[in-house]
This record gives sequence, C-alpha cells and structure tokens, in this order.
Amino acid sequence: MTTNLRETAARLLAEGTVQLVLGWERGTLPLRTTPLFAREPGEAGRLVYDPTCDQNLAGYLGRVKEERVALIARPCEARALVEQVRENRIDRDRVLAIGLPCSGRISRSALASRLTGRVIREGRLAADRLVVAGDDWREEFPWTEVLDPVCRGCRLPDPGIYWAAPEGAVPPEGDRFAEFDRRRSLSPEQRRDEFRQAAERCLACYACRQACPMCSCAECITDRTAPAWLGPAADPSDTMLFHLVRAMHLAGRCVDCGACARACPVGVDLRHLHLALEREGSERFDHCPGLDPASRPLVGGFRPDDREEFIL
Amino acid sequence: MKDSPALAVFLTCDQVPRVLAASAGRGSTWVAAGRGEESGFVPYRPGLCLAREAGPTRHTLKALFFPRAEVLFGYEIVDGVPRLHPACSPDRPAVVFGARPCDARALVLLDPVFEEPPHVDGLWGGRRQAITLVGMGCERPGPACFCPAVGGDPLGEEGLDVLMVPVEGGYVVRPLTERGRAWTEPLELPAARPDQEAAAEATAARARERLGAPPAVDLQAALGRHFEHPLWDRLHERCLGCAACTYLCPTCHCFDVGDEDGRRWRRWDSCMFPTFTLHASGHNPRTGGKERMRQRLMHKFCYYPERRGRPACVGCGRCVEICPANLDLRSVLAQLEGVQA
Amino acid sequence: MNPYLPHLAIIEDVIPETASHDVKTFRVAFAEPEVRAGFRYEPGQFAEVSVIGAGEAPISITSSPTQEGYLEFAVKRAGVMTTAMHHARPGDYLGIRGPYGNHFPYREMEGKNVVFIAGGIGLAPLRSLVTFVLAPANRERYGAVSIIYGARSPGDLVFKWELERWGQRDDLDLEVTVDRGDAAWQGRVGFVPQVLRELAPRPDNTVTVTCGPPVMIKFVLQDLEKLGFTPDQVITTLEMRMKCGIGKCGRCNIGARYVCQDGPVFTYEQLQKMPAEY
Repeated sequence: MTTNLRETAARLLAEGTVQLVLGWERGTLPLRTTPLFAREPGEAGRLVYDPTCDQNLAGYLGRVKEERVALIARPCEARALVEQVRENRIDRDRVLAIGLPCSGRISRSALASRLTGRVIREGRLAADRLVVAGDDWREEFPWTEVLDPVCRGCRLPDPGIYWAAPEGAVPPEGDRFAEFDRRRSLSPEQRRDEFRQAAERCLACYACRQACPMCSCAECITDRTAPAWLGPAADPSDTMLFHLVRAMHLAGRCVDCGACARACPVGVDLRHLHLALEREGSERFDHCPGLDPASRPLVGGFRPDDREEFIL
Repeated sequence: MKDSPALAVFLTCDQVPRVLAASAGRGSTWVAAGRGEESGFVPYRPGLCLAREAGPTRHTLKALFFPRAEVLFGYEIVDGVPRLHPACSPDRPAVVFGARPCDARALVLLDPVFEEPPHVDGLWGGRRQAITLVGMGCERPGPACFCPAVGGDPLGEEGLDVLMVPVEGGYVVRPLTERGRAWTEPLELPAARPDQEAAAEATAARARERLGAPPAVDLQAALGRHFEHPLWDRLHERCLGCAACTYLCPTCHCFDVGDEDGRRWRRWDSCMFPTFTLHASGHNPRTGGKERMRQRLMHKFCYYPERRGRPACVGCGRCVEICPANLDLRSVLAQLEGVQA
Repeated sequence: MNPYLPHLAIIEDVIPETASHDVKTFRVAFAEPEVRAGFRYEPGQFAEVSVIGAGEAPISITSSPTQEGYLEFAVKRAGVMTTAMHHARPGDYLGIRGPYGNHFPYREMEGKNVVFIAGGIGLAPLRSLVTFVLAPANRERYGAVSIIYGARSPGDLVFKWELERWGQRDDLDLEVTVDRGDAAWQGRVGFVPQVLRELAPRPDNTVTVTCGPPVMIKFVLQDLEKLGFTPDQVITTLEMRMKCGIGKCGRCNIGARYVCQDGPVFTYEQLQKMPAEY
C-alpha cells in the first residue's frame, strides 16, 4: 500500500496535477509519525501509512497556499474535508483526497498504559502485530489491543468526496460511544467532578484546538481582550468555559477524529463533550457530521418538522 | 554555595520511603511522582508512587517556583482609593526529591532572568532561597533526551544540592553543597564503598554513551546567520501553533499580567500565540507562525546565549515528546546547522 | 522584593488632546510625599501605569525631569486599560511603577543641533526631551533646535497648547503639518517626510530624534539617509507590547534586545543590526 501511495503521490507531483501532497512520514521517536509536506516527486518517497499515523492532516488544508493539494485521507481526514467543503472553507476542486483503507490507529496513551510506563526504545508493526522493545524487555501483541477508542465503529463518508476511494477498508468493530455511555451512567455531580478535575489538569495550551481540523476561527474566544472571557487567574472554571464553548462551536461539525485528545500533552480527553452534542444532533435532528457535503448545518439550519419541545 | 565535596553515602532502594518520611518530618518535601503524562512534583505522602520516567517528569520543576498563575498583589478600592496588599508567600517546598539534573539546571538558567538586579523578583527568589534540591541522576535517558547537546549531563550537578546516582540495589548519594550535607547527614547512611562508587561511575558512562557526544557546531552563530533563511518557511509548516512546548518547557518563562477578583495575577503566556505581541493598535510585529516559531528557537539558542553565554535549553526532551506533530527540535536545529550561508 | 507593586498616584488634571478625545494627557502626582520626592527619571524613559482593577500598560513619560512635582502621560485610547484610563477624572488614582528603560542620550547630544521629527502621538515621548532641551538651564548646551511635527488632520495634532508656546519661541524652528487640512486650517498640508525633504536639514553636527507611525518612520529614515545623515545620527524610540517592563515576561524583545531594558531608545545604527520585528 505504501509503495502504491508513494508512486501515486510522486506521479501527481511530477505531472503537476497537484503542487503539494499532504501525508505522513516516519517520526523521530518509536511508533511516531510526523506530517510530510511533499512538493517534489522525490519527497513522496518518504510517505508512510500505517496505524501510527495519528494526526488529522485536514487541519493543514486551510494553512497551505498551493493551488491544488493531494490529501492522504483516512475516514477521519475525509469527514473533516466534507465539513470544510460544506462550510465553504475549502474549494472542493482544490483537494484531491487520496482515500486509504483504514483499520484504525494506535492510541499512544493506551499503549503507555499497557506497558505501564516502560520506555519504548524500538517499535514496529509486522502485519497485525505490534512489536515493542525496551532496555531489557520485548513484547509482541496484536496492535488492535491498543486501538484508539475513537476508531471503534468508524463511519466512512460518502465516497463522492474522494478522488480515489479507499478499497478494502474494514473499520474496527465496536462502539466509539463506550466511554461516553460510562459517563452517562454517573450522577451529574460525579460528571461535573470529572470535568472539573480534567479542567484542573488542563494547561490551556490549546493543543486540542490547534490540532482540530474543524477549529477554524481566525480569532478564538481565548484571544479576545475586550471583554476578556478568560481571566488571568487561570481558574478551572475558565478552562471549563473554554472547553464548553469549543464544544458548542463544534456542535454538528465535530467529526470525532479524536485529534484533540491525542494532541493533549497532559492526557486530558474531553471527547465526551463533543459526543454528547453529536448524539443530540443525531437523535433529535437526524444530523450526522462529516458524511454529506450537501447537508445543512445543525446549528443554523431549520426544518419545519424540527423537534422543538425544549423551547417551551 | 559549593565547597569541598563531602563523602558519598549509600542508600538502598528499600530505604527510600524511610528517607522521604524523615525529610518530610523536617520540612515540606516534594517528590517527582506519577506516570507518563500525569507525572510531576507533588507533596510527599506515604505510599506515593515515585516517578520512574526514563527522563524527566512530564510537568516541570519550574512550575514549583513559577506557577502557572500566581498573585502579584491584592487590591481593594475603598471610596475610590485603592489599597494594595503585597502577595503573601505561598506554600513552598523545603526539599525537592527526584528532580532530574536537566530540571535543576533549568532553574539555574532562569535565576538571572528573575533575579538580575536592579529588578529582583522576590516571588521567584523567595521560593528559590532555602530549598534543598535532591536530584536523581539519569541511568537510562529516554529517546527524546539530548542534554549533552546543550551542555548538560545525565549526571550533571549544576543547581543540585545532592545527586543520587542509581546503581544496582540502590543509590550512591553525593552531597554537593552545605545544604545538601545538612539534608544527608541526619539520615545516617553508611559511606559508599569503593565498588559502589565504581558502579556509579559505570552508570554515568553508560548514560553518556547512550546520549552520544554533542555536535561540534556553533549553533548560536549559525542561527544568527540564518534568521532570514528560506528554510524557516518549511520548518514551521508542521507547527500547529499551540503552547504545549512552551508551557512544559523548563526554561520558558514568558508571562502575562492582568487583574481579576481583587488580585493582580501573572499567568504563563506563550510566544507561540498570535496575541502575544499584538499591540492594542492592531499592529503585530510577529505576524505568522514562522515568525513565532523562529522567535522561540532564536530566544533559546541565539538571544539568550548572546546575553548569558549559553543556550536556554537543557535538553530534557519534553517538547520532542509532547509535540502533537512530532516536530522535533533536534532535527529542526540540525537542519539549521546544516544549511550553507 | 516585589517589583510589580506600583506606587499610588493621584490624577491632577486630564487634558483632551485630539478633537475626537482619543488622546488625553494625564498629569499625576504620587500620593506619598517621599515617593514624589524620590522619583527620578530621564527624558525618554517610560513607566508602567495601572488602573487598579483594569490592568497595566507601559506608557512613555511625556513630561520632563525639569518639571518638578508631577508626571505627565499622553495616552491614546486603544485597549482595555487605556480605555479605563480615559474614564478617569482628576482626583482618581493610578498605580505607577518605574521609571524603566534607557533614555535619550541628551549628554552626548550637547553642542549639537537637534531636529525632532514626529507624527501623531509619536510626539509624546519626544516632548520630554524637547522640554528638557528648551529648559532655561539646558538650552545653551544645544545648537539650533527644530521640530517637524505632523498628524493626519488638524484634529489629530496633540499638545496644541504646547505647540503654540513652542511656536512663539525664537530659539526654535517649529513646522507643523497635516496630511489633510480642514476649513479652518491655515498651516502646512503635506506628509512629514515631504516637509523634511523640503526643509532639508544639514547633517553636520546634527542629531535627529524621531518617533511616529511605522510608515512615517520608514520614509523619514530613507529621506534622512538621502540628506546625508548617518545611522548613528538618527535616534528613535520604539513601542512594543510589554507586561512587566523589567525584562522578565519575555514579550518585548527584538532579537536579543529587550525594548523595556535596552530600549526604548535606539539609534538607527542599532536598529539595522536587529531583526525587523517591531
């Protein structure tokens, strides 16, 4: 697959069909990848594609200047692209989405828990096996044991968004709402306490926002000074406010790629805020983000038969 | 502070809880504890899970001396007349146990920033005074560590009062300062035997070998020459513009100041944010991601060295580890070193 | 030591400067007599000024050390703090700490002709030095003094009361210009660099001191060079976003120089060696 990908990317660049290919290359630490901005056919040879590709590349689309861009797209990137197109943030004809079959990605935090904090000096994937080794230990197990929970029950967007549709994709089975449902079973007080604890850990570095392919505001609420919505005291309530505002702003737009949680340097995962709104949207308004570029926005769209019993 | 070396003593692994309890009995003792992304410095309590990270903890030692948000002074306005109340000195540790040499060195790099006359920052200085730093040498530096490249050492002593060197079965404990001796002596530990001292040397040799020798490049000069180099256009592309690297950097010290709830606060701020240099007029001297990333690197490896003679980086590798894009400072610097003028 | 703790000062007078009142001059005096007596500053330095509860901003001291007993700050309403300051009235309190930064090299300038070139509110930091140079005890130490001052419109000129006084002196050449006049305007119309080119001051034994909007500075520097001024004869003062004012918060650096400590006064010669990030 990687060979095909490199050849396709090199050809697209050589023929001038695109001026940039957005993909991943091997990173500098074991089991890490880093975004690759390939502009020369020769650079396409560095492309890699496997379950360690963990960033959502669609977030870079709005930043690059090239006239035409090829985007290596898993369902995560494709769903984000659908939303960006739907919101007229990206000209659909500017992007060639090279769809790749995806069977999920490795969660670094799940891997760290499984290894109880031991340091990985080497790691590689051999078919469905993950081989990791440290100073005086070595382990091998199916990589799906450390599958990112966001990948379970993944949705594929309408193939219309792809330039080349993925073939043979087998999304991992399971339920990406599992953790969300666990939280739902807690009392409101317990849920609030969990949220508050997460907010106390949050450093407000905004890695979640910056890694998000849908956080697109030129000026975030956190940047405002008159009034300043977030005070200098760094109170957890301010941090909670930020995450709630972000969740509301992503209502009906969040494609649940999990990039926010993976980007967090201190392990804060607030995906459940977005899932709550996703479920509201689907149960009440039959809205599913990321699948149809012609769909109407959840917030701002109106149909006469919308349920509105909550208004009065 | 530093004077003739005292005799090293030996501490076995199972004596560590007793030693920590004794230290906590004499004064507030904070320890490196926790796992992975939650690891950091917390007040000692029995049964605490000590950090076993290969390199430093995720959270920095600097945060104990320069917290994420702190009060500069309090105020109240009575009948239109403000009354100001100097900040009361917050809870501060007397002993920090388990800091890595890189974290201790970072404090030494920050000392002149906060304490250089004539504007002495007593909030920093007050916490730095009278603290005993008990460091844990790095036996197996992690894959992101690069302290020798910036003048550090996995068993470095700078900024520490005591250095513990891990060896088979325990630690060779070296008091480095008067304060370190005052911490070590009451523990009544046996003197380290020659074979234990030799084992400590072997630990150091192994750790240094793993990290490799520093590159023989004048980085400061290279960066100074390449400020306008087109390479920056490519280098910054992957940078998402978040503040993870700055907030978890042990030497980043930028802050914002503002009033809230009867107090004037300072709070960590980051040169990676567009608002950092934004004037009230709307003018912004650093307009884009390229300029901001360049500023961060230039500050650490060119501007700070120009003022203070060495880079403002201790090679702890946190930024390498946590960058969501795996934008590795080491390879960025290597590329800048490599370009021809 | 808590270097962030300001001294309280009482506003004695508030003078609206511009027609739209977006610039006001605040005359303040320290509340405590010993602070008032002990506060020493040099022309070109700045202070961190607080509206307690609204925040703090670095503001150049526009009065001169030769004016004893009070300080003056000319403030343009722009952000949260300066807006709060504009709401303040005589009798209200401000917080002040400082003075900070370097100052104009007034000793090195002795015996030389001085050309001041300012645009808009850029006259505020220069006014301290103008007043200092014109003070009876100092005037004879300097050669010919001239001022070229311009603003977008007559209503945008600041220190009009001061300009009138300066205009009446015979030991000073004052040229005031506006980009666009109005019905009542009898004076010059034209950009500051145009006036500079027209007056063409000679570079021999002369120092220029300039401050204004970036676009004005850019052309003034070019024109001064054409007139034969060397970069070390051109002095300017910079404005940067600052928080602490004392070299700690990491905000105001241009290259390795901190504007709050190594500046705000720089020669053009120094600026040429710094990155163009200002």
